[in-house]
Amino acid sequence: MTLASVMRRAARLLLVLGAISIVTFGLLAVMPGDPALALLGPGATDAAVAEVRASLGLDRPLIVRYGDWLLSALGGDLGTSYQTGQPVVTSLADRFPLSIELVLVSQIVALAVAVPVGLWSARRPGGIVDRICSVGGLGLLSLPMFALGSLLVYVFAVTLKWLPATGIPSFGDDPLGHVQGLILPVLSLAGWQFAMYAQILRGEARTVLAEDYIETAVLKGLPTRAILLRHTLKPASLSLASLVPITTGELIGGAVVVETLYALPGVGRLMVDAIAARDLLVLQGAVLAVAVVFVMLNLFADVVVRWLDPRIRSHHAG
Amino acid sequence: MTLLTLTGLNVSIADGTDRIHAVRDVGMTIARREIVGLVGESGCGKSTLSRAAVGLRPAGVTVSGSVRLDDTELLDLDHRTLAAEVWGRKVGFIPQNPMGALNPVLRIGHQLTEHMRRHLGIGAREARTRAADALAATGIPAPVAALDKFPHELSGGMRQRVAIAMALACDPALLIADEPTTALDVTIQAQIIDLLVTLCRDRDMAMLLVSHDLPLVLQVADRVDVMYAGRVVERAPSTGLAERRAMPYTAALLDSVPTLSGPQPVRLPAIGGTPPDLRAAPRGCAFAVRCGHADAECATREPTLQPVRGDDHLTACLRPLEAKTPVIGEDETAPETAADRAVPVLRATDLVLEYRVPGRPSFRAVDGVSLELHEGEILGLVGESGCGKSTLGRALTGLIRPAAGTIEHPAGETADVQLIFQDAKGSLNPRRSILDVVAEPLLYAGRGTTRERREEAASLLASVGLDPEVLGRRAPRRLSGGQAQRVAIARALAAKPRVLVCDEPVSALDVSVQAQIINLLMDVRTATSVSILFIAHDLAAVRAASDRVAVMYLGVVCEIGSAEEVLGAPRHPYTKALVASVPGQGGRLRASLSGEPPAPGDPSSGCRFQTRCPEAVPECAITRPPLVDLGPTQAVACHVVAPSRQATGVSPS
Ligand SMILES: Nc1ncnc2c1ncn2[C@@H]1O[C@H](COP(=O)(O)OP(=O)(O)OP(=O)(O)O)[C@@H](O)[C@H]1O
Ligand code: SF4
Ligand code: SF4
Ligand SMILES: [Mg+2]
Repeated sequence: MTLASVMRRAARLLLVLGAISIVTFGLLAVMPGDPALALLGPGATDAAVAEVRASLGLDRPLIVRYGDWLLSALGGDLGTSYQTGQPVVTSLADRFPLSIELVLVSQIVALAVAVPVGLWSARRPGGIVDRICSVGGLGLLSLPMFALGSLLVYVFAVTLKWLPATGIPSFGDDPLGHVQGLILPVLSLAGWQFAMYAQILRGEARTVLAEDYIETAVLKGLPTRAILLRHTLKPASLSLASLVPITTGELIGGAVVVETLYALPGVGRLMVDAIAARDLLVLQGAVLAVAVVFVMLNLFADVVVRWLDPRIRSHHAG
Repeated sequence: MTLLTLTGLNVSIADGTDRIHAVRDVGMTIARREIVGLVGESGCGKSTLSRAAVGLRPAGVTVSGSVRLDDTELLDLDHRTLAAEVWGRKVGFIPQNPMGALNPVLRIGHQLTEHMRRHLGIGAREARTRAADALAATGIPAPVAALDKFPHELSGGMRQRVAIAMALACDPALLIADEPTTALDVTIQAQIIDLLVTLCRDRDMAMLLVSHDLPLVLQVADRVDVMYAGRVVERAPSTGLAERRAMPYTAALLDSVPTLSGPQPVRLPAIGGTPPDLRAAPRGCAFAVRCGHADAECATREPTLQPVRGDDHLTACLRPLEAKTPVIGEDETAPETAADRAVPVLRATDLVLEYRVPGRPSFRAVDGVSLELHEGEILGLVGESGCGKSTLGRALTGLIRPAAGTIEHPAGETADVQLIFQDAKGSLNPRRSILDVVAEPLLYAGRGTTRERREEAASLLASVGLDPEVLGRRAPRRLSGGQAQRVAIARALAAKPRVLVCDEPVSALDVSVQAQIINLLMDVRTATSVSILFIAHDLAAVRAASDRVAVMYLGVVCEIGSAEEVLGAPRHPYTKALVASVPGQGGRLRASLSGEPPAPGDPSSGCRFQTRCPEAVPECAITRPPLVDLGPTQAVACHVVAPSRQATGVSPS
């Protein structure tokens, strides 16, 4: 990619972030519930609420509050939590690594299983792998993520007691416990992703396998492994990569569910808690951070698509 | 010595709950160094046979019988063993479609070396060197640089050379080439066939050359097998087969091919009907319903391959023909057409057509073309792909606005122009019945009631030789290529156009069907006095259809005149080369043009053809030759053939 196109993308990213910040700010302002009330508890007097509102700056007009927030945000300060008084940036920095880890590991697991399963079911349509994959995949896709998560907890944590049901120690404190704590959340998140990737890949690979160039490759005497992994996977994964904008959305939503379900201290939990507490600035900061990740992932997918498809590459270079 | 022996080969393909018996009881041998041609109409089982002949059995395909390569029975080997020991190593395969036969996301070098490394057990370095040698042997300029390219960066001809290099890489004893030149331009086609034959001779390879192009196969193969409905129906040496053919089907195939020599036929002899359904084994001779020579026995007894004229000439026919008996087609005298009066209906003057690509200089596809289309004439427009034929055709219909120049309709304002495409099926609305598809233009013209429109559509369908009762309610996707093209013609005629622009209307069709469509266009012209611009790359088809012919090269017209003049006695060096590349022009094939056209839109000065012209003089690099009249109808743009002292008013500059 050229410098100019990187700059163009950076500019677009800033624009997107600006728009998102305005929208979330507006939405949060009209959201029912009052941060001050949430802070003080249900029995608080009107005077106390008003006092807290003033101390939080909530009595000022919306536009002033936004301008204020924007100015400090540009300086790298996303404000402080109403609830804990901790700087938003600090809590994000605390929570992000675990979320990233969860998402990355489950992506790797999902792809590692979906690629062979998808390719194999495309190679033998109607075969045993294909049938298990399409029935199981459909099941996984239609099962809500919390249902899958609860099922896993019930089987592996409650009944078999192999793995912890909730919570996770940090890797530094207890490496083994960390890994064990990660297994069920990763499986819950990866199950759905796996099903989707396998379905897409299976369909695409079937199209690719019907192409003339596959017959050419077969009659060159290449082993099946090379036909599938080199000649089929690369063209077939193109649409997988171009679907990333959609899958990323699902992935982020899924991470929120999983973190809540397993009580993992990630960004998703942070957001859920912030909503419950009407902790507007924390929520605002988390949404922005997630938006950044979203855009970055899509940028990355773009790079992958270019790498996969030389036609796009040379078209843009020309 | 025999290399490949097929005995009692049967191939059936699962199709839903049915089975298609695509190859039935075929026996065949190929000797070392022998070139065997396999011809027949689309769907007769050529591709299926050529795959089974190397032991390929994809899911759903059942193969029985015997396939022996040297002393190995291939049908006893499993896929894995075939891949390791036979495919790519003893047998090289050249696919039909050079656009789709190379993996678009892998570099040429990778695709050329992967099987070499496996079969020859050599390292990446050595494989690369050998790959470059193989590319060089197929005549690719700068082979080393080509290794690092992706397929889309090469032209169709170059891609086919790569595919050939791939098949040759491990020095196989047998090449299977399934329609290796079908998708290519004539001059490139001649080069590729030349290359294949030379390589076979030089490297002691045998080749099974699959093609629907009988003249081409006759020219290069030692022996020809003609297939019909899954069986070999005639087998003979190619030399003299044109006269000695014994099976009426072979005769009909030969007759329906338009040629560049001999008197221009008024009508092409076409084979009526369509090949039989291969789901059920036919009773009697499979060709009986289409055969002009059949008698009662033909419908009950299926003939087997028997010697007719000597041991090497076999045919499966109960009543073989004598040598050279015309079976179909009778002589007619040409009816007088409006074309003879030369009344112009469409006139293009100094037409320049450009495509704009954002962020790039606009690309000039047509660069100063002047031509006239006369009432009731068929004007053929020929040239290699990318020369601007289709662009010019589209501009005449008004779909593209000229960047410069004018298009006039001297015969009146309402000179409606209709367009017909190569992919007729794709141009018909798949959700409408055929009757509605044809009635659509009537609806837009606001003519009549629904019922009247249907009736008119039905009579239009009948006029293009389709039975409205049988086909009218069908969906377009259930039509054959020829039927779809007829529907497209009927729909175009519904608008009562003065001009039909037909863009490669027959190039996707079998010769027999092609002949039917060309005949239909000539009939339509006689009946309605519509003028037709017939765009095609097949010179013989153009000659058969056209009164006059214009030849384009890279955006300019280089020769124009009557079909007899231009294709019978071409004057321009490019037209001469084109005509010489057509198979069936006497003698062995010769690739008369080397090289490929430069990138279109290249703004170099001088004659467009200078980079490939065998007759170029220094002047050619400096000024562009104008179209100069050589006679009442013929004009040529060339400094050598027609020095531009008496330049005419239609000079393209
Ligand atoms: N995968 C398939 N499924 C169902 N029918 C098939 C399949 N492949 C081929 N057929 C049928 O088998 C018969 C033989 O087809 P084949 O492709 O061998 O013909 P061909 O002579 O090579 O034709 P073409 O000139 O169009 O390439 C046809 O009737 C075709 O419709
Ligand atoms: S067997 Fe009869 S129907 Fe068949 S080709 Fe010969 S003459 Fe015609
Ligand atoms: S003008 Fe020159 S280069 Fe062009 S065709 Fe004539 S001789 Fe060849
Ligand atoms: Mg075929």
